[in-house]
Amino acid sequence: MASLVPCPHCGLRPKEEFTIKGAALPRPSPDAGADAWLDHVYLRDNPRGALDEFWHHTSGCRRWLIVSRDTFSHEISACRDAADPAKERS
Amino acid sequence: MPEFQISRRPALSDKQPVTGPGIEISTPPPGAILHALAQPGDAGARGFIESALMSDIFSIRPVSPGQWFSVADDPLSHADFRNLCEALEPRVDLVDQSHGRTRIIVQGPQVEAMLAKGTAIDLHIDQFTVGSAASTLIGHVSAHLTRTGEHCFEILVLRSFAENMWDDLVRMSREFN
Repeated sequence: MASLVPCPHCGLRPKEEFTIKGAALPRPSPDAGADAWLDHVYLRDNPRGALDEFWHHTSGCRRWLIVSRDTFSHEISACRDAADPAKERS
Repeated sequence: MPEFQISRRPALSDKQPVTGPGIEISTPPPGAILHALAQPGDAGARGFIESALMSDIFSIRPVSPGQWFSVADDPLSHADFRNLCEALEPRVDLVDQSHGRTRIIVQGPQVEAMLAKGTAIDLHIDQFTVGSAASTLIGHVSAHLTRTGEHCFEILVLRSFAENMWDDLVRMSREFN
């Protein structure tokens, strides 16, 4: 687990200040059908490598962030505000 | 008739200030603490808040994008609070946190070493300059930390955690006094 998270608002902070929600996945369209939504809500990959996750800076700025980290090496490659429109997820 | 009268008192009114060569811990008399909330990304919001809140009375500390705490040493009447709200709305919303949060002052030559036991923030004066503020964990409690002087910090903590935070700080300070 990555231990220091570069919050875009607060700087480098320890992981104890954060709450992890889970993988940040592209959302299916509202009319995508029950199967697509069931997969989106319940099915998760467990990748060995790059992963985007929602992290909440609970004891800091209280913003939702998207942390891009490597589940194998624990390196964090990017951390951005989840509401940042300039870097919208693809 | 109620058999028990509820009385208003500050959260730390029965605590004795800590004094010593290394660390001093005290709580200022109850003043006013206002939480100001604007849209994140509203670049001029801080200046707008500063112009409405008299800067000689309120000091403004950043909390997070679009949010600030305004702290004054003197209490604010409800009428004055309403006037401030009217001056700021709808661009900025104010929430009166005067009774919701408690201020604790920690100071002394060893204060950075003491706070480093509880928080991961780099408190060196080059990194965390006078006037800098941050929301962070101190121990297991969320708190808002402001450097008000070279060796002086103010901690804002939720009222229900104030006693716990005070006792933690007293324990953390023992080796320095």
